[in-house]
Amino acid sequence: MTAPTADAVPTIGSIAPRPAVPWVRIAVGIVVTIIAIRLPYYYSPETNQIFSKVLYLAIAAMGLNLLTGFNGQVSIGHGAFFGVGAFTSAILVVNHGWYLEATIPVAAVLAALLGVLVGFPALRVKGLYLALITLGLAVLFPSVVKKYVHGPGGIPLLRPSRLEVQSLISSIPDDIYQYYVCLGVLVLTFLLAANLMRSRTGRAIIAVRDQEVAASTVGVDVARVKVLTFALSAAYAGVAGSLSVLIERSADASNPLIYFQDSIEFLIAVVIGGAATITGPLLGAMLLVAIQKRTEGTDALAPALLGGALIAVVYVLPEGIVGGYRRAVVWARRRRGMGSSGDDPPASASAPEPPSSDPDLPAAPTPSPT
Amino acid sequence: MRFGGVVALDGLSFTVGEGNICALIGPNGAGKTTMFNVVSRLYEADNGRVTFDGQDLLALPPHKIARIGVARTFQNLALFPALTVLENVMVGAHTNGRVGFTKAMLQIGVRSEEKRLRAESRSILERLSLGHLADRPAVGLPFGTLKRLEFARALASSPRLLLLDEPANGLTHGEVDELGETIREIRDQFSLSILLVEHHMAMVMSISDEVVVMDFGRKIAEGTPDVVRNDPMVIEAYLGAPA
Repeated sequence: MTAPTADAVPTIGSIAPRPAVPWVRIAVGIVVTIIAIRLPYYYSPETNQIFSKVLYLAIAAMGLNLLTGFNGQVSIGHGAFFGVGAFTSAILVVNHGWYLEATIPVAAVLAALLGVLVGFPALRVKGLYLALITLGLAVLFPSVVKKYVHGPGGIPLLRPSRLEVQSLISSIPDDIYQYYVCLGVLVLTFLLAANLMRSRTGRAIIAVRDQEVAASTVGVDVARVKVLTFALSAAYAGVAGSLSVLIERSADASNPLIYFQDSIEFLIAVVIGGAATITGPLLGAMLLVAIQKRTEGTDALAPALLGGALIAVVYVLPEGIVGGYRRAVVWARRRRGMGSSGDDPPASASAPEPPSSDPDLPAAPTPSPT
Repeated sequence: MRFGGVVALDGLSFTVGEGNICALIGPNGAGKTTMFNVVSRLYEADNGRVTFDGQDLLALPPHKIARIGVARTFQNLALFPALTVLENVMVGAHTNGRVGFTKAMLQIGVRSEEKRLRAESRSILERLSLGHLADRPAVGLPFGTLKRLEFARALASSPRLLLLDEPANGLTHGEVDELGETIREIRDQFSLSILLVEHHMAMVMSISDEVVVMDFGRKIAEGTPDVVRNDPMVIEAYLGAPA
């Protein structure tokens, strides 16, 4: 990650102290919660499956965001951790009769262990080289699965039956139940991530990204932070993979590039949502799936339309949806400040977004690596 | 300490007395920053010893150096641009906290620790007259302010020995005088020992208890500012050989 320049939105990755909660935020929170809970009752099972996909995609993207956005370690191999989660759950459900819900923690732990294994060599490489190594991991994964998993017809594909992933609460239909499981796990994982980033360890994660040398001289164990972030990030992808089996009713490694495609989807969700933000990955996942569904069915043109839409989004919102929102808030506040001086809140007050840099200050050199 | 065929530090030996301000001076390339990087374990020394309060620093990994009470600043700034001024100082206080990954995620002991670290860091910022900038992002502030922020971040780890790499660099004359004053006061207030690399001679001579002069990686003189000022070797190193 390069240091942000002075004219960039200056707060990417900064977790300000919890702002005083204005009533607008509480109201928005209540409305969002009600919508999230009521939503599946207004849509068809097919549409609810798409909503669920958004949720597990967001969890994987959040995991990647912890690693790539906040910690600066680029991975385009998170599909492999996703796959580990998916096959762990599928094997436990299909071959050992587990409840899928019970396999989620196992998937998380196994993915985290693989994350540690990759995290250690990742200490020695950075940037593009790390991207390439993780890419290799995603491409390698399906062949490993092929060797050890033999589904019907010998292909590396496991399909839990409808009964094996059905609703555990009889009053709730399967599709809505599955949506709720994903929603619950999403809320839990996002809370954990938000808590982490608002702590001493969260600051250390960002410090390691911005200035590794300085972080170590103030006492941050850089290697430990990097490896643990890798493991945590992999666990998130593993959990998402596990949930994907619940939703798609399959773990499939018959297409050798499938987990590479997943890796790219996670990365897209992070970038268009807003890297190094808490809500970015969820918004990114929503937008990505929305674009995918809009462009679907136009056959050969679909990938081109998706690509074009992505270019447009990144062009209009270079810092993702959340970055764009912050920019807009800063811009609006500045305009209001110019229009009617007096009612503009002081920059350091309990504003929901951290204040921007003052345009009146003399241009200063960006803190640069030594 | 060598870089390829160049011997950057050669038989250099000196001691910083407890509670003293010791200045390390010498022409560019004399090895002063290299010396800092050896002490903070960013460079691996080929041989030699660095001890602090009886402990062998060269046996410790870099992140343990802060924990035993040695902090430093960087000549060319090494701040965390995405964090606010306050958060930068709070990272400096990393060794004063204990919440790791698990506890942070489960919110165990986070609230009280955050409150304490924030209060400590804020008071250090106030002490260095940076309090009004606490919630600003570090990126975009003037160079002199960022130098002071580095100072604040180093202080936050509650060091007993502070290594300052050219703290007066980029400051105006008035600011330099003020900085000299601040360094002395902070030394007294926090009972620090300070090792200082500085080119600003007026400040060095006015605040230092001892001065070590280096050239080509060796020590060429050592003593109180008065002694060093009149040392013929020092005059030669700075002004060239007498005609």
